[in-house]
Amino acid sequence: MVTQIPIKKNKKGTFLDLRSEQLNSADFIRDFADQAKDLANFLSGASVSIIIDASIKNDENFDLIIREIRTELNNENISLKAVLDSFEATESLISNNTKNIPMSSEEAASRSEKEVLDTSVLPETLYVEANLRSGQLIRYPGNVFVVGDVNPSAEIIAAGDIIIWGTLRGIVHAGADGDKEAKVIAMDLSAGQVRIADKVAAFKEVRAKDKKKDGNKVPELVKIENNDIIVKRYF
Amino acid sequence: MSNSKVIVVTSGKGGVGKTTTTANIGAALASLGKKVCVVDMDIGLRNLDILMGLENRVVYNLVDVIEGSCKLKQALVKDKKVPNLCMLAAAQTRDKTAVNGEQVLELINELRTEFDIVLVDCPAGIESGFQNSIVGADEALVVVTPEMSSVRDADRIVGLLEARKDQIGAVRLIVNRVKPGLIETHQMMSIEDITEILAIDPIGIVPDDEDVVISTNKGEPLSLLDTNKSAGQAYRNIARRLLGEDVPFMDLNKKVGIFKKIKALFA
Repeated sequence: MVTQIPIKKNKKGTFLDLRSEQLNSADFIRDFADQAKDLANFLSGASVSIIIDASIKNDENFDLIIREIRTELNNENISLKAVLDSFEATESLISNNTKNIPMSSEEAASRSEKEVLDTSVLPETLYVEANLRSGQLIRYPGNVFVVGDVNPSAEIIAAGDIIIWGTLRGIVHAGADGDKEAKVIAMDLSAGQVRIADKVAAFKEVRAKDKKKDGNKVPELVKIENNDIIVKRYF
Repeated sequence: MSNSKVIVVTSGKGGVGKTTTTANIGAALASLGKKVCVVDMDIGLRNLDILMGLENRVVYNLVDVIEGSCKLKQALVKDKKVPNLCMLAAAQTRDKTAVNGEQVLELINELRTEFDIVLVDCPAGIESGFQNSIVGADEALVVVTPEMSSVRDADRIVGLLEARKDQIGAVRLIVNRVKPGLIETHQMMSIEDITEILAIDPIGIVPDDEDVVISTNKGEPLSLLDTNKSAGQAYRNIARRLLGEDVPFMDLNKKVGIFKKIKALFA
């Protein structure tokens, strides 16, 4: 039995500290399933980052281990947001984002090197083939592609682009980490609100009604242009 | 394994007609010859007994059975009119924490051996009361009214039910309190608006009917009354569809139709 995994929570998110674990042992993966079940009691639906010992990255089974961990977490409805190789890096990331400490450019450069989140084990685009219903939430550190509808009060928060092959009625936040180049594309944009980076656009209700009358739904693109969120026909 | 079916009637939002639907469909299924038990899982806010007109006959309740204070058979209340219809009342003096999922599952499995169909009236919400109600269900009926708030809550419920696809084989939709006149003038969500969001075809469309209120207060499920009144007929149709019959949907604009017919007579 593995000892209780330390959980750290702060403004930047929730972190599971796995540094003291022998990740490459067969026992770990087996026991982690039990641990994940316990975690589900209070982390179900949340997304977490895991912190690992840097040395494990050289292990030939690294990808496999991370994949196992992600599967176990997913089984308990917890999504894996990122893999960090030391908590110090994360801490600096947090302090950078919560306090305005002036830094010299040298210092900034050395910090940003440490702050790189290793998301290489996650695919760049999350492909979802389902209708997202009210109350369902997807958080992903990349692009999200949905084949299906996103219903009212369902949510997608992505670091990259969000593409909906269906009707978008729920809330989407593209470029959630601040990427102003991020965009939202929907076959039928019927949402009341779209968020990109730090901008929020609320659409008039008239829009939805007009579209309905129209009958001819066209794919639309939402992006930031001249610091404003704009909507235009995709083609 | 018996061929019995456990169907949960749920909605998320309160006040959309779950209990009325349970009572009416239960009664309709029983009058079609099935052995039916309707179970009130709304512990602490029990209503089903009133709608069935059986409140004076309740001696023991669901929590009594689960706690072992009585046998299941002692707690089952037989309907006044339909002998093969039974009701299991909820406890009114307790709350949702009085039972847990395992206990409910055990109870449901015991009911399976006695009945062809077990209809579970689920409380509003998505908390433990809901979780306990769906624990033994094979199918679900989601009741929705043509309002955005109801549709959103139903959507949430459907999402939760779909997450248990292995257990709950079918999720069906009942659109309740439909006012065809308002839909016609675009003042109410249409059936298409609702099914477009929920992506489920309805098994029944029940018109708003003041007879429902009257029958509720009388404690006589409308579906048992031998009338062609619209809501009662709609419930009977749902019961037949649940048994696999192919029943066409009623023309909800019938009332207009009658006036037109009269007009036509004089024309």
